[in-house]
Amino acid sequence: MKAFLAIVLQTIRSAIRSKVFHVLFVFILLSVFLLPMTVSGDGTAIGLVQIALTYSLGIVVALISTTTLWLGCSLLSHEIENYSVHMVVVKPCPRWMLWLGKWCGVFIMHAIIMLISGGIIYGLTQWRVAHGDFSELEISQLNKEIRVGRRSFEAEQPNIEHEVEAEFEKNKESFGKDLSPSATKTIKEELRRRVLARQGEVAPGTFKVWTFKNVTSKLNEKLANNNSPEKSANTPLETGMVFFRYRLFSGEADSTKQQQMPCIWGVRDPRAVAGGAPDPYINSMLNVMGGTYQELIISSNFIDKNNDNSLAIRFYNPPKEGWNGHEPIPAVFQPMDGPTVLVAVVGFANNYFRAMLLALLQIAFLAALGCTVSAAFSTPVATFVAVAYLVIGLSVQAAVSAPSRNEDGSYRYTGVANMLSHKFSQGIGHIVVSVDDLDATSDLIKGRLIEGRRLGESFLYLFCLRTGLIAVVGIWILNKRELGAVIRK
Amino acid sequence: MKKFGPICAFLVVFLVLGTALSVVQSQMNAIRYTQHLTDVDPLDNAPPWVAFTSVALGGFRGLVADWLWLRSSKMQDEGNYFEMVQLAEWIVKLQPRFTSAHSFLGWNMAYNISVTFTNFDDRWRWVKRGMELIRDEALEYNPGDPELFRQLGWIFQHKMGQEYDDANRYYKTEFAKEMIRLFSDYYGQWELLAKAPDNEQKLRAALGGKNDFWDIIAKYGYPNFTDFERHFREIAIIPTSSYEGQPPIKEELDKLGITETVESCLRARWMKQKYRLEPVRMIHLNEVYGELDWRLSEAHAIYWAERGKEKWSSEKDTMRRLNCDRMIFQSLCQAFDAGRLIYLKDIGHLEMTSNIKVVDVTNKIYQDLLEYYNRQSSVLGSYGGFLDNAIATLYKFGEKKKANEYLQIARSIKEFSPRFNLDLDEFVLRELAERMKGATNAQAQNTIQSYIMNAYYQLAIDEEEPANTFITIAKQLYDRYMKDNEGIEQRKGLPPFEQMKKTTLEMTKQRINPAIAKRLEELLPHSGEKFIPEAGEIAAPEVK
Repeated sequence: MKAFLAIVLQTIRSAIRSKVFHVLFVFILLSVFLLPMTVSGDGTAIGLVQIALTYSLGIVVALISTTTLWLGCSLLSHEIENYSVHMVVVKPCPRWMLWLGKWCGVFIMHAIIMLISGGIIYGLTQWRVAHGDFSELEISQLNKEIRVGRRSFEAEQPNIEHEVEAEFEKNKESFGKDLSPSATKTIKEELRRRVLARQGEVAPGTFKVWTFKNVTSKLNEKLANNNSPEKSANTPLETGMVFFRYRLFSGEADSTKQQQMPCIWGVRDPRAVAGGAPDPYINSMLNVMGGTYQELIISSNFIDKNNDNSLAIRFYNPPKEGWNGHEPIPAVFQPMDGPTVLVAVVGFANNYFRAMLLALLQIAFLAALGCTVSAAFSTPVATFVAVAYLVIGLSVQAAVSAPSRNEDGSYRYTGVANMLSHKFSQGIGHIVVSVDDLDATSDLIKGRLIEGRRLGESFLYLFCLRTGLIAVVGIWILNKRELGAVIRK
Repeated sequence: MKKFGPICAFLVVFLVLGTALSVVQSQMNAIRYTQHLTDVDPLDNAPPWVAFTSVALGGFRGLVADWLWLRSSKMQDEGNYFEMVQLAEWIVKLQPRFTSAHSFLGWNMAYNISVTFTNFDDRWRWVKRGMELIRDEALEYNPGDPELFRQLGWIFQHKMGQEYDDANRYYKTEFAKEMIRLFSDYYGQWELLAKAPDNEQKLRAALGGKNDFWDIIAKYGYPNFTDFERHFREIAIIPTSSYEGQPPIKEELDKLGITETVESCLRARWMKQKYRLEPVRMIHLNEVYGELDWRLSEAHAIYWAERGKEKWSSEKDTMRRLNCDRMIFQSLCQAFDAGRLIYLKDIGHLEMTSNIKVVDVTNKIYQDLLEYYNRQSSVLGSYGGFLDNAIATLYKFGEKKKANEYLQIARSIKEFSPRFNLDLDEFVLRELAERMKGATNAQAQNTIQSYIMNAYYQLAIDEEEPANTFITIAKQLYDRYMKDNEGIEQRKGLPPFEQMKKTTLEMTKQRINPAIAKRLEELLPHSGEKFIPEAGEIAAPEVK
């Protein structure tokens, strides 16, 4: 343990002496202090917090990642090249400990910088909001929508298999006789897509209902209970609220052909249900631009506590009379867009800390990558290999999301080559770690909860398994490498 | 000493070369400009860091701007609008000469982003952001760029002036409030504002070199003129004890008789610096186009279109000039329809009426343009629409003779269909019948106001029965229009009928013979209600 600690301390000392680190550290300091104080959003409190966090956290994490990677790539390789590592390996200190000590030193130093920077950014952003010229309502809105961790609940999915089967049976003859199992499977997949697409389409004069079950949150209930009716009458956002997030397309899901369309949104009132009202929905009419994400704010009083804490929301596409002279068109909801219900589950500090944890995992991964390549190569080659790995990770993400999708969310391939290359990218994506997977800023700035499950998966799958694999390779290389054969350049 | 020797030598060489470069550079810039060595003029009014990035990044600033542009598109696709303002600002600063990009960015905010919001307040914020990007940022670096003028005018004329946007009445209401705050009691005193001192030194000179004003503001805790001006723009009046919590500065200035000089200076500076409105140009436009209501968007659309037109005319770009001319005549038509603000409170109570004073000038503009553009069909079509409207509106407001005059003008234009061959009463009757079906908000408002006005006239001459009939017709038309526009009241709705009766009563008193007006006042005295709030009563817009 003494040897391990000595290696860690020595790594931190030599890291602090690095000129590149000095330069990057100055940039980190500038970003930490200047960005949250200078960037300006769209003039709202929400915009300010979103932009301050996006830029500050994004740039600071990027800079810390760069220094981590640079030091990871340079420290070990440098010590191997100038033979100082020989002084360590001739002592009773196993090479795995040397590798781990280096990794730990780089990680601990950057983790501390990251946590301090994160804390300062958090404080400065809060300070700027507190000293900004924002109304109470704006601040309240900010606290409900952004400075919070909102869990998303998905609607109950209808079982479509029997509909697919019925459709298949109905048109069986038109598909031809003696269908092979693979042809049957393909046809059913196509039918499934059609059924899903049909379910997402709401023609004029018709409606669609989504039911969300088990919509609960202790935090939300606490917020609802803490507010007196008088106060909530003045500031509606102070009560416990849930947010219904959706995106609808007008006519077809082509982003270039979108237009505004009238929508009648209804929320089922549990009291009306209990009272046996014929239509227990409370409606409100909106004119919504197709293709854009929207959020409806709904009082948590509409959650039916006697019915599995369910919340039912209805979309009614008005008939011709409701279109004010325009030609009525169907509304299209794509399965990949949800809709979802967002409920406050944790506070902002908690969610921010979760984002920081993911950033720390990113640092840990980059330190491991740097130490591994520096165990195998000289500093420039190690840096090149590490950057190439990261580029592959980022490109794979782009390649995985590149093919266009069907309305049911499945991929639409233009040919076999397209499909094969996509499957190949997906395969690589399972092996290579992409830093994008560890970036939670986009969720944080939208007030979306960074789920414990995501943290756990990232820790086990991305860190322990994939980064662990990189570490094992690094230790193996360092063990196998003939350090005496290294020639000083 | 040895250690500092090279540093000192370096500093000396640096200073000498820096000074020499500074001298040479200014001469080189002058040569660049006079010999037309570059495609673009040197950047005006650029703050130091814009000038620095323009030079330091060289050709790479284009790449950075491209990347920012791509990010901005991505953010918009994902519905993340919070970065749009900052990204647009950076793009403008990196490419201060790329005015078509600035114009697009402003338009994108005002049109594409605004409509993604269902809340009118959010929409107005984005329309303002779009205008501010062009007016406060892009025009700062390109003060004479006609494309920017055209785009700005278009937002005023189309986005705010027309009724395609559900929130158009909200935009009009909020903009009118801003303009009332800006002009206050100095509305219409354009000569005074044009002559007002536009900086602190000139103000001092105008006050006879005395320090009284500065002593007063210092006494009440304003460290300097800038701080006082900032507070003035927040509350839109000179602080007065008539408003709770304000120091009695106005009272002290009144005692010295310098209120007008100080306030006109403050308002003129506000107009020029924030809204880029030049009182001299406003006077000129009022002379050319008649008394425009500068609290409404049409007047501003004309202002910016006129500035664009000046440039395109001098560059002989007929196509672009036509765009500006179109904006001018369409705005004049809007001003004729609803170019006078008569009641302002909120979106539900906004009321305008026809500015029939601009009818002759609009007609003249159309005739000149027909001549200039060789009777182009688009101009001709628009002119026909205007004449239809002019005849009906003049007739409704009791200007029968003038309406007939316009019917004769319409008949004299050979390209127009024989629709103008009906006699005046028949023509107007048909127009009114057709019009109420798909009437715009302004047309419906005018029609109802004209019936109410007739009712009051009849009442003034003691003809009670016809007066009741006119009121009944007005109410029926009102109800019919509101029923036809059920569900879109915020976009096309009318103010409450009772409010229209009150405002029209006062309009009638101003328009009819004074003797009859007096009789009407006896019968129906002024309620004392203030139809349009004063500058100090309107809160500063929350969007900064």
